[in-house]
Amino acid sequence: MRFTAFTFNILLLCASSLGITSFLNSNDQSRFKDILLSGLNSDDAGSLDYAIRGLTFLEFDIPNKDSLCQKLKTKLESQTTETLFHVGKASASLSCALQLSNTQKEKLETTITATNGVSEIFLATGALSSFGITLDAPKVLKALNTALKKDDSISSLGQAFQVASLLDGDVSSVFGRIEDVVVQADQIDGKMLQFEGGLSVTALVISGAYKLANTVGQAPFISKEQANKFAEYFVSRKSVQTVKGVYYLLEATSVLADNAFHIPVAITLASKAAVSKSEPKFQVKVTNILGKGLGSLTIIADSATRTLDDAVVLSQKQLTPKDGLFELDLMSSNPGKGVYRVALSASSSEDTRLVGNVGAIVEVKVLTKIAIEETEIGTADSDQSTAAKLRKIIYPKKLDGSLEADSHQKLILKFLLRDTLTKELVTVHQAFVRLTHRESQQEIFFVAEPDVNDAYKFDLDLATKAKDFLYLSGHYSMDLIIGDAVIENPTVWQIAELQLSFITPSAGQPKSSKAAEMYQMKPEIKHMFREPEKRPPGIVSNAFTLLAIFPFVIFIVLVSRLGVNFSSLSFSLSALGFHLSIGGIFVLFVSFWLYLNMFQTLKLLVVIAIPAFVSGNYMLTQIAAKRRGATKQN
Amino acid sequence: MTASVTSVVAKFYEEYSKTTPSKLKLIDAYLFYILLTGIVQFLYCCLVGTFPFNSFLSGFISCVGSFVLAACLRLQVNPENKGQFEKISLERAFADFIFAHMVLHLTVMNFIG
Repeated sequence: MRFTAFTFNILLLCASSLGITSFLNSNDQSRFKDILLSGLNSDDAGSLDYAIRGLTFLEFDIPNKDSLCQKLKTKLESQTTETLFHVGKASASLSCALQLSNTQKEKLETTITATNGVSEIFLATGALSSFGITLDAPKVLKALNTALKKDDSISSLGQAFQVASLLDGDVSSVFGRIEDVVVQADQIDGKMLQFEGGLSVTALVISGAYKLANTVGQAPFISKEQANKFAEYFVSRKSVQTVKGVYYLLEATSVLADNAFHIPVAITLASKAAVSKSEPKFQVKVTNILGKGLGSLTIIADSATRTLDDAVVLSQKQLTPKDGLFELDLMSSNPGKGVYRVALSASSSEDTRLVGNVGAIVEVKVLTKIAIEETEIGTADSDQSTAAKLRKIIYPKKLDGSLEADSHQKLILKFLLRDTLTKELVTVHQAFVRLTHRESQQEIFFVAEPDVNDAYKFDLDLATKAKDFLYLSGHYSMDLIIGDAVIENPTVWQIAELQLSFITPSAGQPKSSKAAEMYQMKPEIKHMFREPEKRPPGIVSNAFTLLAIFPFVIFIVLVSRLGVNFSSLSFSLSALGFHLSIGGIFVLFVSFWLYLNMFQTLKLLVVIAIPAFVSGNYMLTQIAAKRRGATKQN
Repeated sequence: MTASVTSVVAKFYEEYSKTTPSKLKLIDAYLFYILLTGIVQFLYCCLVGTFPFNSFLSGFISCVGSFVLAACLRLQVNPENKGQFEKISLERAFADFIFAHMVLHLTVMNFIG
């Protein structure tokens, strides 16, 4: 007992952070099993290997071992190191007793050079060791360290840890790199740690680090908090769907469930999250990350704090073990109703490896029963000329007869809500009064407000609220609805039958409820195509067309009256050519209007314009010469 | 009052017939014709509205453009303005007139739609 207390105090002093918030439970594990079993049907060495080793982690009896061994045997002569690695690991897991040929063995041993990179060294050493061949530790180590100098990315370091864990001798050079890697981890939400690259890289690094630490016999440079945060990350990835992902998750969590240094602890709620007078106890489960028990533990509730006002209702109470779980009677500390955060700590007398076992928070609700007391209902005049006539009702009975009220009156309901545990008056989240019209089932809700002394009063002025009722008079039933997050007995109490009469205002008829109208069929919308613009009647436009052409006639008349000098019209080639070209251009423009486009028109215009220009030029010079000759003569 | 207006108009007409060379009278007749056509188009538009607007515009602008070009030709050809247009012979003015008309009518035909 004293030793337990002593260990516990030491643990408290270490003040490690909260433990992991959940673990891989049997549902998760059976899901993993299904995913891995589907991987067994694959022909790819990698998927087979991951599936086989994953199922081994789950301690599942793999079916058809012989056919799997046959499949692996066919891949023994593969040329790639990766295939041999997977074949080796899988066959070792299944105990297939496959043997590497000498050529393959030599090929693998020559692959272990610094120039091939950390990945190849990892695959080659893994393959060789799984076939039972001893490794030349100094050679491997030298190659590994040289390769790491060129490429010390996080995944390479993870692979280096895995390699070093297989070697005997002094691997402290690699072991020291664990510290370098851990500082490169990214924190998420302050709760989880992962490495860039996600699940496979993180799993590779963590399982490698702990395996190496086991080999070296020294604790790795990972603090308890960091171990917890990595564990939290792995637990958060339990929805992974791929065979490779499931394998990596199981490898990492198996290492975290059983290594010589850090075992993250999951303290989780294992019963209903609500306690009440009738069910005063709640239970917690304390396991490792795979859901397995941790030997004999002492669980102590350090405190239970109410979230509403931070009141602490208990401290340092030990939980009693029961059927593998630990239970606590919360009601014996007389907590009031509310949501409580219970801080729990687990300690073990023998196991010093536990981490995250202090200060785990579990949320528990304490429920209470509500009693509705001193209920009075009645009517009063709106102008307060007379006092209210109130009648008492006792829950759960209904008021005898029906209560009549009209637009001159107010409806009054008063009641008190009392907590049966603490015997105090309380207010709740929901205190509603519902009025339902008998025939149309139209409902209307009102809120009952508490006053400063927590006495509820509901005051309905029928004149002002008549609009909300849509002026629907008639038989109503009135219900009181009480609800809250922390009461055991939310109630709907049919209090009374009412006869309400409203005066509809002069403006409107009491419409059938707006809701009914809203859901009627709306008039159909017919698509209206764009209507063509209004044109004038044909007669008008035709008349105007003629009218527009008429001035030309006037022009001809005027010109003839002026006297055109037709005699000087020469029929020389140029003149003819000019007039024809101009006429041609005119025809071109008309056809442009009718059916040509701009490009064709321009092309043709250029073709016609050249003779027009040439002939016109010639003709005009001739005319000019003639004119000058004439004026000279004059 | 009206008598003086009519006498002014009559006098003007007499002077006009006597003093203007026939070339200019020809152009004036042409201008008058264009003017009438433009007025008819405008009246039509006022009567029945502007649909289709592009057609109305192109027709009206054709009238206006032709009127302007003819007025320019008249200016250039008028012997009284010879001093200002020494470099431009009558034929040259006419050629410019024809060329400008080509361009105008191309645009009008494009726009008439």
